[in-house]
Amino acid sequence: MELCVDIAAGLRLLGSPTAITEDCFTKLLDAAICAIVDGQKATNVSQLCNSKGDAIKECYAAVLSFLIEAARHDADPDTLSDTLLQDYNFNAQRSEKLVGIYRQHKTKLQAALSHIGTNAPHIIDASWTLDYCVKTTSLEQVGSFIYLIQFHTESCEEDCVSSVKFLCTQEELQDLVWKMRDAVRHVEKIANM
Amino acid sequence: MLLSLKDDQKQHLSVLISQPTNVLQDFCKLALDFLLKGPAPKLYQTAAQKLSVQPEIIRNAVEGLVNLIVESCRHQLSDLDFRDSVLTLGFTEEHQEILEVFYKEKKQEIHDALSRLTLDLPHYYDLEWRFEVQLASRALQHQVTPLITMNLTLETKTALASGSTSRKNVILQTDPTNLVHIAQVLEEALRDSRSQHSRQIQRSFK
Repeated sequence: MELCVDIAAGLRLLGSPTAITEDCFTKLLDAAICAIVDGQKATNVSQLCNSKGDAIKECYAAVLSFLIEAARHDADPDTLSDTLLQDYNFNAQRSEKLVGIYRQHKTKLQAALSHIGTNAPHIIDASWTLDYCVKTTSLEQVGSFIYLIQFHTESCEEDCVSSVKFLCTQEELQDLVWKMRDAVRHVEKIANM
Repeated sequence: MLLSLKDDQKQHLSVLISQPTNVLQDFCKLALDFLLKGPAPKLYQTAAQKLSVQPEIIRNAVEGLVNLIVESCRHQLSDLDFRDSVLTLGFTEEHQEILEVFYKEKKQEIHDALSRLTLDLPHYYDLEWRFEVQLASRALQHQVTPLITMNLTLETKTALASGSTSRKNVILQTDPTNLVHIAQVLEEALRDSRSQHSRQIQRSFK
């Protein structure tokens, strides 16, 4: 895992107890994790602590990059701890704190990252109505069941849930169900391997 | 039941009553052409010259014949009812036989076409799926994400002409948990059409 020069400098600054106070360090970590996991943008980072706005901003950027890059590469917490101690002049206590935060939120960090990208619309639910068609403009007697199926989908690009709608006769739905069941069976077989 | 036609529809058909059987047979062909491809003014022109009448009259007669057949299909007349309706319109026995053969031949086809006319939403046609494992993305480099990618083919049916169905592919994906859930939901839907309640409704509208 490589960090660019600016970020590395920020990280070194973050590790130095003389530049960033202990209290400020904790606040920075909390703000960063909130921003990634909950999507809450920290407002006015430079006023997070009452000293040196520019340095705080630099450190904030470093924490964000560090956490995201680590999660992105699925880095091992112990290796990260070593790197912080050796390359970025962290003391044991701060290194433990930062890595602790990473360890605690790793799954959430990766979940957030998995939502970035492109994908086909992802089906999250299905709903249906069953109608019995009695009569239409063109036929006096119809007498058949007709299903309206709706797949609810979401995708990375759009925030909202959209849907795919289509009609099925009984036979067509039977065919669809068979194919779905086939897929389920296949997936279950793999899960039990 | 007897088919009841409007007066002008009867009048349009009356031209055919006085014609010999082979002419009526030709008109049946014209009517079939009309059903499959829409009106053909050129053919009506030639027919009009042969019978020395206005093309307008030929067109009305063809449309009248189409209307007769379509209405009969719409009400799902039995062959007997159809015969009675035709005789009531004033056609002779020989004419009736020709029309009946035409009706019997085309009944199912027209009925199918009529049943498709009203539903304009696309119909399910096919589903293909593949199981895959997503290994990496730009934002997340080491991952093992199981995915089921599906190609849902939907078909929009249009009336008679056979070549005019249009198909559309929708690419979708889902995860195993949702797949199991969706399969369950749809199975439940299928079961519901065989339930007591559904059968009762079906029986009461027969």
